[in-house]
Amino acid sequence: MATIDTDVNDIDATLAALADPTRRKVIDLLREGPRPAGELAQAVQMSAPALSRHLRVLRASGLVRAEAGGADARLRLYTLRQQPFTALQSWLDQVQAFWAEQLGSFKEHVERTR
Amino acid sequence: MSSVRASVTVPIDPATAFRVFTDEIDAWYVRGRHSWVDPARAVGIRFEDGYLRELWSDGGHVDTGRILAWEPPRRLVWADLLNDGEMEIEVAFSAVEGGTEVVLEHRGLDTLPPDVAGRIRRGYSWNIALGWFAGQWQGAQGREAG
Repeated sequence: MATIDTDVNDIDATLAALADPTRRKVIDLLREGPRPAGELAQAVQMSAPALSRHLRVLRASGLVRAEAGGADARLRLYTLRQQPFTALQSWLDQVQAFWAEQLGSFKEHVERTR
Repeated sequence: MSSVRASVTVPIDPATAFRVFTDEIDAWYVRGRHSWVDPARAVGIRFEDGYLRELWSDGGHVDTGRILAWEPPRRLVWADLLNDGEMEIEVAFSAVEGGTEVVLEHRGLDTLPPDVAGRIRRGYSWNIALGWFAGQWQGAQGREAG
């Protein structure tokens, strides 16, 4: 098969965002439901400004989205988004589909020639 | 999640299935967008000299896989030579009612280095991210809020 180079742009951003343990912890926390930034900072034992750098990366990657929580940034509510996870899954699905198609063709060949 | 599987059942015995899979790969291999290293020159594919080999119109070739196990009628394994990392493809042939079940497993997708496709150069590891992802994705499913 050819080299694996299928649409790595989005997956690139997703994996880069997931490469950091703090950000993975935040994703873990958000899997339980939306949370305000201040609560996330407390949970990962980080100051709000230190965590906000990570939250910015997560927002940019599209893994999470934030809802305005009034004037106080600590109250912004963070929610997990499905789409980037789906993109990563679909990359793996494409590798799977490649082989499923090849095996399907193998089967047709057998049935045609035997 | 670091591996993918595909399977099919064919109405022949395992020894024949192994032979058709290997000897006749050029007859059944799908000529698709992702099938070739060099789509402009590729004219065929063959298992020969211990390699899975893509043949070119100018008489040249490129080895896309190195055979690690050649055990008819049961098992065939080759190492992917195109992508850095340690990917392996194993094909197992088992007798089942009505013929042979062929199970293909493509392993080691999480061993691809960060610069796969030459575009990812930020120093993170696919291994960590994909490994983590493998355990998390199912749980994250269905929690999309918008």
